[in-house]
Amino acid sequence: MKNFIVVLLLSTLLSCQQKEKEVFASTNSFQLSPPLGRVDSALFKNLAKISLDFKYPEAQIRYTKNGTEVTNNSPLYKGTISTTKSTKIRARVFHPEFASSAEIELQVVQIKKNISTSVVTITPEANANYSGNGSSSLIDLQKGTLQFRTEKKWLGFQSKTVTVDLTFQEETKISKVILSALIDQSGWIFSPSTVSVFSRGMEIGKVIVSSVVEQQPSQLKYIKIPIKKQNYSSLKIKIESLETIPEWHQGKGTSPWLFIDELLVE
Amino acid sequence: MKRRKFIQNSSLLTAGLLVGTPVVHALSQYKDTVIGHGTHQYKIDLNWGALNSSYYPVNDCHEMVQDSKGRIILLTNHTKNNIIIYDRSGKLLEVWGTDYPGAHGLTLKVENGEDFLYISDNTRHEIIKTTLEGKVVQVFPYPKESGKYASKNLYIPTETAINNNGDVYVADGYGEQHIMHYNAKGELLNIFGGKGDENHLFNNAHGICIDTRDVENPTLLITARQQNKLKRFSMRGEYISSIDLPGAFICRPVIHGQHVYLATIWSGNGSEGTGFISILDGNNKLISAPGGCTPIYEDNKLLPMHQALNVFYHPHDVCVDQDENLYVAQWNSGKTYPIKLTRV
Repeated sequence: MKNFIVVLLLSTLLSCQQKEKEVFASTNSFQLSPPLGRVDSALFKNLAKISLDFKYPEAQIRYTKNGTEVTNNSPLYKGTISTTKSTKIRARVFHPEFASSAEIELQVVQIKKNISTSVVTITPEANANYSGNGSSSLIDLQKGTLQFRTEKKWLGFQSKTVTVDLTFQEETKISKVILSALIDQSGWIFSPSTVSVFSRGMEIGKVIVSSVVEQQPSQLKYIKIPIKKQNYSSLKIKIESLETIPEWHQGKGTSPWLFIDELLVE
Repeated sequence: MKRRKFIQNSSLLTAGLLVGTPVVHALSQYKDTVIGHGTHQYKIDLNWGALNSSYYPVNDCHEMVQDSKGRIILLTNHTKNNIIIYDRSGKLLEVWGTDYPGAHGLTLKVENGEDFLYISDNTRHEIIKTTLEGKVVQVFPYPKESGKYASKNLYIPTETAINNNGDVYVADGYGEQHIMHYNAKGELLNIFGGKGDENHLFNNAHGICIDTRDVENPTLLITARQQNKLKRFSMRGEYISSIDLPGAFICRPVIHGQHVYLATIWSGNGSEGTGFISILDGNNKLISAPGGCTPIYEDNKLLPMHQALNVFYHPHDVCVDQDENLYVAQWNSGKTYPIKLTRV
């Protein structure tokens, strides 16, 4: 009995000592961060340059130019990528010890038609905190970046529907309308759910944006709406937000923010 | 049970970030992660200081300091327990404080052999000086007499720095960006800074400390967070120079020995969840970035910094103990408790 108590005491002491030892997080606890991406001009006439950056030993940036998912067999990034046409780059970082990063998407769009002299009216008006340079922000060819809080290029809305009326200076032949929007889920900014284009009260094109994905990295999104190719003197673009923020988000059930910064036509 | 609760919280964050089909190399052997560079490298203890959140909840873990007894003091804006005191192993010792809804800045100063805390409360729009037991000994209200503030609400102080003569400097980091200089009695002696892009002005003067590394010639180091700069001023408020840390959205500078430690809340293009820790040497060069990319200088200029690993979400302050281990408090990071970095 005496021995038993001694053993009990000893084991208690030992277990106390063991508790002091720190447990450190192993390499499988963490994921690489996405690469930094930079474009010299998101909207360009002749040539655009895209560069990627990740300064970490043994890390490799891989990318695709054809819109497919980036795998560890995708081309290795070795330096600035130049392009003369609209291009979407997807990229992620790989490392022998850590889980690969989330993907980033970088897009450069060639300007086919300059509509910066058109007349724009937006209903309702943008939120006072995110009102860019007024309604003409949508056609000023000044692309916003992910730094939406500090630059005056984005128009932010918290309404279900935003309508843009666009009157061109002269009749213009158009087959496609492109709307540039921001996704920043941690800033409660979600992609529009549908974008439709009207001419003289008739719907001439509509795109339903695929459902929102959980934990989408922040990105600039271009939504392309094909329309019947012909001459137009004016267009009405109706942008619908998500009804409410999805269940998995901390803002579930409330109205999401909608951020747009540019309308292009081709 | 306590630990399990924490793991649930932290896995929420990690699981979220892991979506995006990470490719894990199935054959590689897992080992302890080591972060940081050169002389300042660390292993990561994610469970340090984890508590049962039903009893000892936190919202934002804003700042941490070590007291004269070696205890680690955490300031959170949860009014159930604004102050949480741990021993160095992360064991809970005591909690107090229910009156600091905007608890943001925490500075400890030893005055006549006794430790005092200065709490910057950005909801109460004032600074509160307390004993280590939580007894209020002095309040520094909004500086109405300066004539720079039309109302109390425009004053949103984030940090204090206390001089050996008892003078108190306050950074109005979320307000009008002025720096207030008081004497120990709370009389306003000087006001400088203000909002703007020029050298002597600030955009988010989030932190302030007194740089005593040059013993003969102490100066103020003040954060200009949105400008990714640390600005040096004389004790009289004259601008001297800037330390450029491109891509690093730094919080307050913390001096330990010859080094400056700065929790870096965002990085790169300023996206959410991109924080890491910045460590400057005696020449104010960034020499280690735990959780961040390798710091590289070209032509004496730091290349833009970015997060490398998702160890941290939004680091808001770093406390350095006598063995140069770090304790990292985080803002808006799933109500998680501080993370310890053990120096290797």
